[in-house]
Amino acid sequence: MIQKQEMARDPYQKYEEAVLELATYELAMEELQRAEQPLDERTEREMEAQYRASLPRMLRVIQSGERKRRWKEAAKRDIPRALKAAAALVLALNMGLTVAFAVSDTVRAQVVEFMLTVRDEYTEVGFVPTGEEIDVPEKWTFNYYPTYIPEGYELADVAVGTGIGGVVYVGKNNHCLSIDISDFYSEGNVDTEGSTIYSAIIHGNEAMIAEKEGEVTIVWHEGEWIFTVMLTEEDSPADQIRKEAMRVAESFSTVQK
Amino acid sequence: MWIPVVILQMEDVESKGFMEALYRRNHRLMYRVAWRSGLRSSDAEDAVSQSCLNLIRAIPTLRQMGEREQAGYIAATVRNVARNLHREQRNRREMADGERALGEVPDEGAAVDAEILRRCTLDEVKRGISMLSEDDQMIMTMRFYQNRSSKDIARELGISDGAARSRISRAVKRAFQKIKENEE
Repeated sequence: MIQKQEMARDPYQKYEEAVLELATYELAMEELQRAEQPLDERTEREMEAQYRASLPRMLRVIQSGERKRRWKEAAKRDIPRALKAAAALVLALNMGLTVAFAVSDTVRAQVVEFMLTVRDEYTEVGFVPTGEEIDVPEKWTFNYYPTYIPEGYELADVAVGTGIGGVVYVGKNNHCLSIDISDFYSEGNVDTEGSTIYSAIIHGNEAMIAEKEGEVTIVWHEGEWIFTVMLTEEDSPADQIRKEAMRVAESFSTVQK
Repeated sequence: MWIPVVILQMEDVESKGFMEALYRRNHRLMYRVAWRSGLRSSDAEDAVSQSCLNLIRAIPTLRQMGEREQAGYIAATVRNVARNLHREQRNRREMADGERALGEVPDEGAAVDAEILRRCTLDEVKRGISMLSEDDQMIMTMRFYQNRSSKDIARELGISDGAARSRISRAVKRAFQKIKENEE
């Protein structure tokens, strides 16, 4: 339990507070038990289906809610300092991006390719550098990354977990490029409600393209990895968004930091 | 399983691991509580999402609890968010209908003293609280079970600190009244 904010003043009042705490605690635990009781089979199935369909949106709402909170906190901290500068207004307008950039460092990584070198008596097998270098987030632990990021986009967010990772790039006019990678232990849904669905081939694997107003999502797999590229540009024509998203997806390469 | 990116992004490795494990254990429970509170589709999603954000801010509290207590706290959080969502929807409907905006229940009869708690059993106190309106139960849970300050409650309900204090005080008085009525 957290520390009491409004301490009772005498033993009787402390006792009364404790009784109310214990009563509400027991009521909450009883409610937990009720919540855990299975419903009838049909309702359980319906609830599970809705739960699975809701997951992507819930994750996005949680993400944007927490991001807003962090930016607000950073704004409270950073604006007074920024106001000291001559370009205070410009800084304030760009505050969101400035805050996000500060937490996303990048390092150079080499793009590598699979190479078979046939000798007289054996064949060398392995990955060799192509000579191309790209910027990848410092925290990124996966050996895959796109070599193409549309012009004007800047790295804003990086998240890396066990078998799952994601980066977010932001551009002008709230343009957003989100790239996710997850292994086959991960489960999830792609929000395709109201979308037009196409299929395509990326690196020899079948990919799904979900397109709705201002947004294109591409999902495909390579081996055990599932890749998702989502590009949101509400003020851009659909074919341009699709073309750019495909270019990002097709540029995924094996990299080595 | 997909984990909210905000959890994966936590800089503090311990908090990240703690929150990830907590989410893995309880994410279905959260949806279940929202569902059982009568919320469907986007309302259920909103309740779970908002609860997750509230829980991230309650990590220090949750850390001090056992797994079962954490589940209880999480269920209570979702239940309260669901109640608040119902309250907001009701208020919007009443505003549209020109009725009173706040779901306040008027005080009835003479104030009952807190002394009543000293002569009642715990079950009688629980019964009194469970007979309160949904709004009052939400306030009682936040204040006494979750031990949240009036300022914190005010922020979640979108009301002033003074209004939150007044609602806590009224909910407690009404709980005493219910206990007394049951006693008689």
